[in-house]
Amino acid sequence: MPPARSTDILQGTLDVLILKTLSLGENHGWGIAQRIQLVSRDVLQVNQGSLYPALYRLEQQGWISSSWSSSENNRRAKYYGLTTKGKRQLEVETDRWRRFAEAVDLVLAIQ
Amino acid sequence: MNWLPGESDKELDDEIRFHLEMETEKNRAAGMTDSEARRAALRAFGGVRRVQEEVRDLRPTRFIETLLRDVAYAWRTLRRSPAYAMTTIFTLALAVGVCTAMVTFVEAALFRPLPYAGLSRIMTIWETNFAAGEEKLEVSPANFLDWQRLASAFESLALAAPHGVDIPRGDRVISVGAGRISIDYFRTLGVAPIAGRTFEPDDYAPGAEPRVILSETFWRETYGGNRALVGRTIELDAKPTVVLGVVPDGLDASATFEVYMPLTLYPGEKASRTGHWMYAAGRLRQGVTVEGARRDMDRVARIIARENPATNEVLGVRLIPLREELLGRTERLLVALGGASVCLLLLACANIAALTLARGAARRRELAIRATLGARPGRIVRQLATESALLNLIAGIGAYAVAVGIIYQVSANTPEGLRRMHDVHPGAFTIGILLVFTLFATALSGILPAMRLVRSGLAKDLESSRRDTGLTGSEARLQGVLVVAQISIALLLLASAGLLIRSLQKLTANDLGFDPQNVATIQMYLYDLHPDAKERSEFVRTSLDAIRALPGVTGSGATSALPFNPATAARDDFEIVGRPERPGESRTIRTTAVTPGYFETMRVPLLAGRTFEESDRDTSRRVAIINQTAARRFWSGDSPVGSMIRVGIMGPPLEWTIVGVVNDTRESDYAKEPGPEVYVPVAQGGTRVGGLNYVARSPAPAALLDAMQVKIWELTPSQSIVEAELMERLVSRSLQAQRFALMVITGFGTVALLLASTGLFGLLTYMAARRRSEMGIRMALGATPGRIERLFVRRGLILASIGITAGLALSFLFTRVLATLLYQTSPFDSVAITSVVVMTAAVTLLASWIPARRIASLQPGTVLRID
Repeated sequence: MPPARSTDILQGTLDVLILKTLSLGENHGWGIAQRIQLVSRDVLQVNQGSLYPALYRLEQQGWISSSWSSSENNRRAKYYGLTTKGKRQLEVETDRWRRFAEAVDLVLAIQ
Repeated sequence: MNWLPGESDKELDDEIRFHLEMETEKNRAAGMTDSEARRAALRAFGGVRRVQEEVRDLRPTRFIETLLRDVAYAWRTLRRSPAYAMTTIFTLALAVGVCTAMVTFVEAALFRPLPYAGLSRIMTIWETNFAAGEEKLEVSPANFLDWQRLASAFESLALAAPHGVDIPRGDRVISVGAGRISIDYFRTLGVAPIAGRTFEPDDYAPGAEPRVILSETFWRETYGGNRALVGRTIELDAKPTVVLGVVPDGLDASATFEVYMPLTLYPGEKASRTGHWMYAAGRLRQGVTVEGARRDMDRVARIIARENPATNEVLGVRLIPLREELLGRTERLLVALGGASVCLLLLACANIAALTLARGAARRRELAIRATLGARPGRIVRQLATESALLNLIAGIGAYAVAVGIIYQVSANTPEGLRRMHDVHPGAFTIGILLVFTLFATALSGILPAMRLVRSGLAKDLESSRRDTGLTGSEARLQGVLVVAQISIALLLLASAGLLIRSLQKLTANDLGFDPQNVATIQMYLYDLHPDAKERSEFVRTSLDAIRALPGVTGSGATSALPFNPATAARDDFEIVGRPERPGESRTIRTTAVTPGYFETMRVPLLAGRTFEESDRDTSRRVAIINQTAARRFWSGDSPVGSMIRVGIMGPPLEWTIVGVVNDTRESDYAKEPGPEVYVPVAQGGTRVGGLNYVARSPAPAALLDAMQVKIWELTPSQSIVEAELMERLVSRSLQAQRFALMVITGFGTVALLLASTGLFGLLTYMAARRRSEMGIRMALGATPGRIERLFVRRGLILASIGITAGLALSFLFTRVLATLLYQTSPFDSVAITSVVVMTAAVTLLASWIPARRIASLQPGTVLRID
């Protein structure tokens, strides 16, 4: 099942991206997708659909919470926000990502 | 199932809808048309269904939810194809039920502990007579006493002498099998009493009051299992006897003892090396192997032979482990039948797998659509597996009913010689084993085809826009393999059945030496009520006359040893007066006392001289008749009539003049060649002719059975009757085990051939359907129907011949299991094998010819138009 495997690789990354995005303020699924794309200057093309299983999973972990309210254009939308637990998790994940990126940099820097 | 999950389903749907609308709006704002914008939004999102599935899979209740949904779906699907569902349920219920019943029997008969401590060390001990070709003789007491003196392999040795005693039950006196046993008997067998105690030295003291130990069943049936009976007195042979204890049933490998009494050998018995009528057993010393014990007993036998050359020159000792003696026959039968049932189960699974594959092929489109709509392959396998699990669950319930039915039927009707097959009940073990078989069948018949179907690439099917619903090439190949497997298993079963039939034919073709039809028999012990020999033979004469006077009776007689009733046989050594024994010659002979009219009633042909007459009385000259084998072996060509022999007929040796020669009669079964036998008149036959079998011939023997007993009771109301049975039934009883195996295996074989040919038929029909248009074109181009027909028949025959070849190979490997059930029939018997191969070939030919014929008889135009 090739698609499943690629979401596996994405998973950790996608989680930290979602958490980071939500740390800037509550947002709905579409908003999160737009934001990631915008901030990463379109480098990170999130497969929009795969966002939702990830959101569901994060909510199950208790890192984000959700509520329905009306959107900017007056539609009902499901908004996600970071919980306290989620904030701590973001720090852990950010740290982990930094160390990972540094490690990869170090390896790539070998002459 | 819309309670909780439904709520969050709707939430997710709303959320996704919102997402798509926002994306569409954004695209529109970027200048796309409405439809372009929507399509781009969907593309960016990926599969909506897939996302929904993925989110749903994350839910904790997901597993049960899916299961319930799958079950409901499976139920609907199966209701839409009742033929498939019923076939599967029926086939599996039958096969799993049969296997479950068989394993229940195997467990009950072979694996449950027997009441003996240290069973592997207990041997039954027999004598052999190599000069007479006797491989399993009962033991003579003097030889046993020498074993006790000389043998070193055994911790203890025990002796039992069979005996009959009368016990009142209700207002009748019944005769029960009793064992006079030596003091070490229960210790040797390692058996502890259920109640009370076993015998102690005091019980053997001369002048001790009579004491008895009861077997469990007898105690329950006669005394209602009353524990207070221990220590009390019952009436035994009209003497008050103290009940010492109760022991478990079935302790005796060869005779059935219902009660046990102390054995004190009479002086005459102590000296007897020629009368073989007792049973012996021994417990091996710690560390002594069976082989070691055999060597030891061979040594002992040689010492005894040196000391007593006249009697023991030709005698040897044979050890048979008690377990083998008790369960050997049952084990061999169960192994054969168990093997046949496993074959049947494999075959049923192959059949269902083929059906499931074929059905899967027909459902290909449905499954392909489900796959395209976002169902992942694992999901579809799971759905198909649920369907087959549901089927198997229903089949499992049916199988339980089948198993219970078989268990009760078989345990009620098992041949008597097969131990521990009689009191079998379905229990937790049966249910456990049923579950195992059901899971096995589910895996083999449901999940494998499902995986196979999915792996063959569902998505491709939809793309290739195939219209037909037939099998793909690789499925047809797999179907072919299944059909070949089915044919080979069917052939194996049929070959086994064929061998059993041949063996039975050969057995029953053996001349019995008498005519068992229309003969009624009753067995009695007369000694206790008629202790005086003269009075006794008078009673025999008047009672036989009374029976002869019954309506329809054409003849009556009596014998001390009835053919096919081995319990009554006796054997002794004899001398020919005036002719010393040649070296190596064994003058052991079966000794039987009969009345005038016996040979005539049994229709035993007289070959020379005369039969007995009423004038052969205790006062007249002692006369004897020998059988043909005795005449041939000891008089080799000369006429024995007029010769004198010296032999003890249940008494001291006396001289007899031979007055006739009669045909050999089989002793106890069809297979065993008759040995030498001598007959003397009951009226002259010593003092201890006590047990007699009355025979009477009538066109209505069943009615005669009752009439004979009534007549006896009219003369002596307290006379007990051991057994009343038709001679024909005694004879057929000896074939019960073979008949039983034959019936089961033939049944399985027939079902197997039916299933296999249905499989072949189905496969060819599918192939024909798939290649319809091709055939249409061929016909349009001038191929004759005969050619088309041959094309398919050839295909069927190729599969059939592979199957038959494989089946033959299997037969050569596995029919060896049957060897012990076969009589003068090699496992490679050409007649049996050839006829089975021909039959299988004929049936498979028919199964291929019908579909071939059907496709060939179509008009080319019709064929092409259908597509």
